[in-house]
Amino acid sequence: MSEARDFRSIGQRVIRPDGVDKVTGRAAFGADYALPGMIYGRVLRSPHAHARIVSIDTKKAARMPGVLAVVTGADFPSVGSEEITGGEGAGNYKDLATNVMARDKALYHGHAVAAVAATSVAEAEAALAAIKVKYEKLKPLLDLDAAMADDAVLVEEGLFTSGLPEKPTKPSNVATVMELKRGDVEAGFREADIVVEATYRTPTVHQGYIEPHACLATINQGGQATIWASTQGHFDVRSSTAKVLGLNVSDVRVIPTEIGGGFGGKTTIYVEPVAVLLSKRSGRPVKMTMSREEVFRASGPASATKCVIKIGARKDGTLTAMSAWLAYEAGAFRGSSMAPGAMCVFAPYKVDNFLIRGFDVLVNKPKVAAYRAPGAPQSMYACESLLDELAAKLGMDPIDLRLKNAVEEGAQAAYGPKFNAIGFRECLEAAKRHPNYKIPLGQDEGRGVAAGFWFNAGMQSSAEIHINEDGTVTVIEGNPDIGGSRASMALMAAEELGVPYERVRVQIADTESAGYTNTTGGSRVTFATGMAVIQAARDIIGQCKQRAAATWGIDADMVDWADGKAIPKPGVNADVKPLTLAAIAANAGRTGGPLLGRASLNARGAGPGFSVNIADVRVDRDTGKVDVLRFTAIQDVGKAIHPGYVEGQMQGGAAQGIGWALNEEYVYSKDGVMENAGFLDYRIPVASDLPMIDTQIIEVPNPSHPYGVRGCGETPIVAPLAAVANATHAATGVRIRELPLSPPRVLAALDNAAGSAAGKAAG
Amino acid sequence: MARVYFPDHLASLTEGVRELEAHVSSFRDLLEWLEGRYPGISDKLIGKVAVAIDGDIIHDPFLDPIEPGSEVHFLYRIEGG
Repeated sequence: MSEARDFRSIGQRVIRPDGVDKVTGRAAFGADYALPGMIYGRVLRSPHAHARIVSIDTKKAARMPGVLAVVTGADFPSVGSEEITGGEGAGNYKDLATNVMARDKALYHGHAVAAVAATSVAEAEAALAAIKVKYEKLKPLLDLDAAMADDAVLVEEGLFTSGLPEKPTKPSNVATVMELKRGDVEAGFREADIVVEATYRTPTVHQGYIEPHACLATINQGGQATIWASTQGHFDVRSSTAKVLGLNVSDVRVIPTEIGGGFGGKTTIYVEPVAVLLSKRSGRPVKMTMSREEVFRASGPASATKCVIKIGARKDGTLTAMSAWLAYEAGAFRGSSMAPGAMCVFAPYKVDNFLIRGFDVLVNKPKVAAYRAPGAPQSMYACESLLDELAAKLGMDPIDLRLKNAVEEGAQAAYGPKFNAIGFRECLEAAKRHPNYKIPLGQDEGRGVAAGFWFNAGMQSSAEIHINEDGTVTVIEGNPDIGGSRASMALMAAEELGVPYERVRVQIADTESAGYTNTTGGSRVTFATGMAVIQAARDIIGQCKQRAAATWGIDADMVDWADGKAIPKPGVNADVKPLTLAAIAANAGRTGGPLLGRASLNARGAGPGFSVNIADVRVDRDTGKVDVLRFTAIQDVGKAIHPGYVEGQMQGGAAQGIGWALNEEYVYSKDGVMENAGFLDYRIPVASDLPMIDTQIIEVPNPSHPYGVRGCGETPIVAPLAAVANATHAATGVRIRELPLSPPRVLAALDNAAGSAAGKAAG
Repeated sequence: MARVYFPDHLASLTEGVRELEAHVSSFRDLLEWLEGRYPGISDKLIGKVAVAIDGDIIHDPFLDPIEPGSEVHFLYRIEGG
């Protein structure tokens, strides 16, 4: 479907229409909204990581000054077990409802157990302190090894592992097992000249979006709720809130606010149903905002993992077999990103024999949520690190090893289908040629390389295009703008219609004003919603050709559309002047009424994205601190609609991946209490921590998109973990197989290595 | 004739069969054919899996055409961030 063509608007670095408001503070985010009579909701959270809730006494709290409503789990309707199928992620509505408000057990420290609405935040918080909860403490499970032990305490009593060939007879904390395999993995290892194997661990990390979860909700006496929410997907907020509260979907309207980052973490709900229920009880609009501490303790981070990888290769670098054992923490409810992690782990490589086993494991931590390419950074960190170890043992350049085994068009992906046109080889070759790959390094400096992969998604999108009476264009779509999608949609509409970008405006409409649209996630918006915008524009062009034909008194199939004008086809004998979009719009009332184009689709063919990163680091041997000197991100994006925003995605993903590699982790006490729930102690990279991230866009068109687009937002976070880890090994000679590579961990590893070396010398 | 591939977690519903051939022209036809051959598989499939037809991953497939020689892979449903 991709068309070779010269673009007029696509590829231009235009100014994003929402940019000025966002940098000057005028943009309205989730916590900025207010209504007359509004009151404030606050949540009481469990002080224990695992406890049975024996009783909750709210009588005193309900009588306190300013308090207008108090709710607990008993006030929510019972929600039966039902798979969540409308959105993107794995999950179950019963679990979702229980995560929003605990019922009989608190399953992690910070789990919501009650909520209060009062006329001020201070009154609400005072009332929370007056709620008496009697707990029976249970042993918390805080890591994979403990949770997978045969005699482990159960996070969910009665949970039986799914995905096993035989139905298990004993409950377990392992919610799901999956397996992918091809060929004969043991025979493949026997064929190998060299076999490497190692275990890697990654910690629980948070997306670190700057804006905490926030909403304002009101419900009228007719039972119709309106919610203003900071979310990646207001249609999913609508369906999930309706399900948790037992409402009809048509009785919930969700208006998306501007969003200050999500990265997957705002694809689910936390406070929205609570605010609606408090509004129902109080008869007032209720605003709820999570504090940063609550965001860390009670929203959804990314899984901690343990990954065991084994790779066999011939002396020339040809891979003969690969195996992966991948365990992902799900948090307190099933549904980690284990499956996509397992599907991604070997995706970049051609290998005839492999076995991948994945485990989704419950622990007493917050239910994990999606985080940019969910599941892939962890498993691919492990694989890409071991490939680095293999390259060193083979004496091969790490890019050459990857080139030797890289998938290309027609290769069978480890997760199943054959790849269509992809750009992995082009990324590797660009990395090999890149000047940054040749810069000499100094003392205690090292260079690392790693590859990244993400499927990208299509799914359902809708778009409308209205041509206004002056010929300007309004695009209406249903995806919150997180990464500059207003600009991308406007560029695509401008390209199709042949009008200047400045004459197109994009509105993000609420659930009652836009056609159903899946969440902004999966790197799907520019691809799928963009495709809907293109189709809606083509609908407009078809109508314009009919209007022009009617005006000229000729058949519509005798009219072409070029450069924003209706013109007679070559050879048509008609003495007419071209009609611009503005001219047709001005005359619309006389030719059939307003011009309204629309499209709704379930997009297929999201082209996969590959990346290659090069990291240069310097390690301070006295402190263990790792500084990133240079970082180069190379990625195939199919076609960059707005190159500046594509580069921004690549840089942002690199920054988050570097944070994951070097500093970020949830630090838990033995009782399961997160001890660093704030940005002072949970260390995400700031501008002064990072060099300018160099980017190189590769464009291998996706044949399933009219312009060749493939998603670009998630792939960038995948490769940095291993690239930085490999660079750190190159700088120190010491391989550390657990993230983050924080100063204490690096220093300890250097000391151990020095101690071992000294011991050997002495011995 | 299209070739259809099942991952392990669905092979339990296909009596262990991981690969088969089907004379179908759409995903709807394939579902009907599979349901006739392996009772109950349709309900289990819909909503829980994604499908790749000739390399294109599709969520919620139904009317999508399947050509002679097509490859159809059932996959775990993929979320995104």
